[in-house]
Amino acid sequence: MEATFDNRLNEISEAPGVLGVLCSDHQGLCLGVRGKAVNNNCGLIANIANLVSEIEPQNEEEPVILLDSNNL
Amino acid sequence: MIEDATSYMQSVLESYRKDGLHAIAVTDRDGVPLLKVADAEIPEHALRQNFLSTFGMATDQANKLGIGKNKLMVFAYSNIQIILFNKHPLLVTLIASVNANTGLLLKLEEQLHSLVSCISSLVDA
Amino acid sequence: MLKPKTLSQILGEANTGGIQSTLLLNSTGALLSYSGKGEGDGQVIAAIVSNIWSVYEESGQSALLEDKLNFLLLDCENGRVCVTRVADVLLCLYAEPWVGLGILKTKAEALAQYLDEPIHHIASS
Repeated sequence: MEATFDNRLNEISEAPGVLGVLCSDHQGLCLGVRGKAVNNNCGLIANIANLVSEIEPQNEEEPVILLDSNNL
Repeated sequence: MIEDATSYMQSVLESYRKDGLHAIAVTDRDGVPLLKVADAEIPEHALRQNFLSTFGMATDQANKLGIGKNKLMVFAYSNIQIILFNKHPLLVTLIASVNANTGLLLKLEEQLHSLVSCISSLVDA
Repeated sequence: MLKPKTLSQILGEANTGGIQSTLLLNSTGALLSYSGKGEGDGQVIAAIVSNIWSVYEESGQSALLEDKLNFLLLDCENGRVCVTRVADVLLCLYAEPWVGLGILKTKAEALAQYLDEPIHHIASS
């Protein structure tokens, strides 16, 4: 049922330089996790995405958010 | 002690109200509320004992599914969602709007953990 | 007309990625169709899940003034369960504990949507 989705997640996680992938729905529930990502962070990630999309509510495109950290 | 706990819960509620959280209740297995905080948006009967008491029953039933002890339940209605943490011997009930970020509210379990275990030790004694 | 075997095959489509079994049950807890591991377990799950569902649908109406329960997620130490409604029956997915709640809910929604029309058809015939 979710084979295509799983394959896509695998592809992303195997891309050069990717340490982990987390996929969440808009309610912060985990759809999939690979590598170093932590699935109970879905709530926080979805919250950031929802908040950031309020910066430009008229923009129908979903924002791309970049968080920079020295700890990864 | 109870005053401190209530004001702590109130501060948690305040900081998550923008995320759609409306109430937090800590009850015993029979649904007797030990602590509860709520805003004005929840239905009047939502924090009454006869509603809260059904959660103890639900947790007991879920324990019989053969998949180990129940940790949490989420009930999604048309406008409201209820999140229930089983913190034996106590239960923590969150009432939130149905569109609220469930994953974020599930994180509250960690935040409320030490408060709940502190109250548990008082109940046991 | 939907054949029982076809129905069980459709339910089986969801049994990937850690989903152990998929069930259709009526509101009294009788198992209507099943696909997955150990049908005996299926009957126990059906009975418990329908009981919890009906208690919360009813108390949701009286205490929360909510017309209907749309979703139920149960998280236990060794497994997770998601329940939703299709026409007037319940669809239940039973999963390994590591399955994400989001994928569990999404699969239940997709299957419920797919089954909605044929099950409505049975109910009205």
